Amino acid sequence: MAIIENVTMCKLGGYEGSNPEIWGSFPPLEPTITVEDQQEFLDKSLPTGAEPGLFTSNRIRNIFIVAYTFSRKSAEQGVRDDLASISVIISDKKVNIEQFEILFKEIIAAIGSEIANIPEQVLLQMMERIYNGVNSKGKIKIDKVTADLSSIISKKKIHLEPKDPAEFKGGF
Amino acid sequence: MSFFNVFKRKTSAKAVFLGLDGSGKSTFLSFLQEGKFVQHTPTMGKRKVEMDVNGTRISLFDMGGQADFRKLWFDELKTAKCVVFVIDESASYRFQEAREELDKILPMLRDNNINLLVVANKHDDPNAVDLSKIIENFNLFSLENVEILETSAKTGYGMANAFGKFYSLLTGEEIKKMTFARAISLFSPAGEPITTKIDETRFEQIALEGGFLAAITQFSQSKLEACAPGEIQFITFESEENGTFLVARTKNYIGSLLWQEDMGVTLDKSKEALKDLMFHVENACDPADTATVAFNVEQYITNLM
Repeated sequence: MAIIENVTMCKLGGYEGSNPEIWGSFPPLEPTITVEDQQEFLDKSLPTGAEPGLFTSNRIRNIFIVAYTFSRKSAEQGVRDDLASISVIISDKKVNIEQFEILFKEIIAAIGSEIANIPEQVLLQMMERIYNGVNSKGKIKIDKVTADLSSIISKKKIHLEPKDPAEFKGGF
Repeated sequence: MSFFNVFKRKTSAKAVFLGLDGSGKSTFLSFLQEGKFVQHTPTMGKRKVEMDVNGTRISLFDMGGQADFRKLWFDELKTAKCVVFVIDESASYRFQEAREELDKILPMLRDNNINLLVVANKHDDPNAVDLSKIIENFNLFSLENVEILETSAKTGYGMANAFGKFYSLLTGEEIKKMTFARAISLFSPAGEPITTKIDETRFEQIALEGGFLAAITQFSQSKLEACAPGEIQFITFESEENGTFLVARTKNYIGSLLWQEDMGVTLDKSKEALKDLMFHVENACDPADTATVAFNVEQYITNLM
């Protein structure tokens, strides 16, 4: 059973005339996020006031969006850096959200500050590698960095199993 | 920041910063807060910063300038006392677009008695147009209750003056621009002069340049050791005739400042001002490019003298 449904990157370009946009997604956002919901999804992946280094967790109906905002060096001289985010869609029926947030932070930490300099093509490949890596609890290799998820999960004692419904007060 | 004093808070006021994307709103705000140039990523919708000035808590709303965010401007205007509309003086090809956005908010400013400060930013850019072109293109002659200024949030040009105007529009109170120096000079660590600015109402340039400043700098070179990045060292010289000379060394520069008691600021404040100037130049310039260093210093000094 897949832990994560989707990995998406969003961007607000540093160049003139830019606007927030969904930059890429793996696998395609639909049907997980319908066309009608994509603006809300964008707003929650790259929220108002977001600045580099920010982790956020938001919800659309029954799915969670865990995101990290970062800056990305502009390829053009004299153009300011882009603001970008990488977000993951997960369901609380499949994953313990709080534990996943810890894992997500570890993945971002493993990639490190190099995320600002990774070439665009590699950055877009990153989504597929994160998707496959997390869902197999295997390794994620991005540019010169490798994140070994099984090792991270073991060291940090992360438990991704969804919460037992009986734990909720009033459960029956 | 050494330009402004901070006292116990008594009142509050709100200002909103508007303008096209890339006009320099966030950089302008950072300079007011930190006294130095900070490069920003685009503002995602809006961000809020707060400053305490002379007992007033000022809430500053930095609004994203991209087309998708401009609809957010009106909500924040409802409770604003002052609007700062920032224009990129070097992007004349966008003046029409900027003017259209300004025109959209003017009725609300009029109806709600919101003061307007128009800031023509990026004055340091070689493509920056004359202020008269801004006034003409934006039809600012026809507006009442508007102030217009030129600034560079990169070099610091006009920033102290801009803040004084902004504070006055926001609170109705005047904030007096302080004089921190009668003369300022910058040299390379080898003692080569880069630039000197003197209060010409008081001194003859030749007397200072050819004499005292050069002698002090030569002496200081031997006394002040090389500094690591982020470090600064000071030496003070008292002159009965001229006042107190502060000489400072950072990694790439030696700076000197002449303080006199009748300026109305303490020696410590002037020392802080010299430190801010030198760290600004260390941060903003390539020391090998002395022409750019000199330009940056001359722009920044407008805040100190």
